[in-house]
Amino acid sequence: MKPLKLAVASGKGGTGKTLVATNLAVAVSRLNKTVVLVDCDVEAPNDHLFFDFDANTEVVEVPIPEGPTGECPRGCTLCRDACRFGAIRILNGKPVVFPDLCHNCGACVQACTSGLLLEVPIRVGETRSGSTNEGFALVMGELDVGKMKAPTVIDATRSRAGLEQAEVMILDAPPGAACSAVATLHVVDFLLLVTESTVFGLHDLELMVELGRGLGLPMGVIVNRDGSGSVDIAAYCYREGIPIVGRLPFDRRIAALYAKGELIVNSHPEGGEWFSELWNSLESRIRDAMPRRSAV
Amino acid sequence: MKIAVCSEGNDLAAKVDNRFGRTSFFLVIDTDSLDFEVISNTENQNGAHGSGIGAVELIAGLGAEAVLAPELGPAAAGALRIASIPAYAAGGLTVADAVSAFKRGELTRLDA
Repeated sequence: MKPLKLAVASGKGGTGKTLVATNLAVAVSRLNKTVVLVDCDVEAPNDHLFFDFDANTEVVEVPIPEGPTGECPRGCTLCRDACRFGAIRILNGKPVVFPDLCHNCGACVQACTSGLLLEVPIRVGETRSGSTNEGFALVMGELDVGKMKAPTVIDATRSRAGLEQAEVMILDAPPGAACSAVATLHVVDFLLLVTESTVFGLHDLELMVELGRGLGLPMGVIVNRDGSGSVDIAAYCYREGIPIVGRLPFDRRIAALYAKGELIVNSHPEGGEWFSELWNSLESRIRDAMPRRSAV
Repeated sequence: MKIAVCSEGNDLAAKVDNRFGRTSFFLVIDTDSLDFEVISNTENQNGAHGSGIGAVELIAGLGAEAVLAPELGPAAAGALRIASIPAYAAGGLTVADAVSAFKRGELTRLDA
């Protein structure tokens, strides 16, 4: 059976994506479904902090051109002209690669008629995969400090998570609506947007809704820290035809537990109920929406 | 010698542009005769990324032996090092004054 892929995202950082993703994963796992939790925030992964996690690490590499392995023909600019990204330039008559601009497409190597360029792998990050003490799989990615290729590491993380063949895949997205978010969200079955009742929360929710529509994703909203903030998220959602699938109350105990690295479903008296209700609210919506998504 | 100068306009009376990678023009000047060529930098101005590197490629390809610039970003500085082209600080001057000051050895290196 095709796994159900639920992405948890938000425009504004700090709204509660990881809180929701981790606790929902535990709640769903306790309903006897096989779950894989995928931490796609590869620049600052933190899902693993809430679990005991015995991980198996794999390096993520990308090919970068190197050379020339001999004398370039005088005045030749074939490699430079093939590059869409300005990542290989001719200086002092020789090609010079600028790795941060390189998109690893191999066009320059193909274009060189003298065969003087070759591709070498360079490390950009790693993925880690394993079981958690809650009995489900966690797969995470981490981009190396100083490297730029977050989407590459995110793609590797999603591939590795796909190997788990779980019934439910929950993806914890990085904040924002840029390349990293798109790499996490494209081709999922449902987008759960975490927001809060503040001006920034609403503004960044609107950006995510635009992204979700652009990607053709069914969407729902969960309002976190409900009861604090004065913005009417419900009015916005009603106007836009987006269901509010859950609310988490503004409760200092939640923040205190989270700060200690504890799961709300384990340590808060109402935690288990909140997240099993959230799953009930989501599951039928997601299954209803799934036939409309075309398979890739 | 042949030097490149970042310029807002297309003659020696123009002011040195306030950016290197996205400068409007490079004036490539013979410091002895003061003959010069005007090179438009539109491609790098319009590029989303890599404009500093592209500007270095441009002036290196024209045979510039030094560049007079307002300041340099790290990517441009790295590319100039690879191309062995020294850069001198000339922000706020006209191109003509910058060239005179360069000839008198009064300009400081931007990339020491």
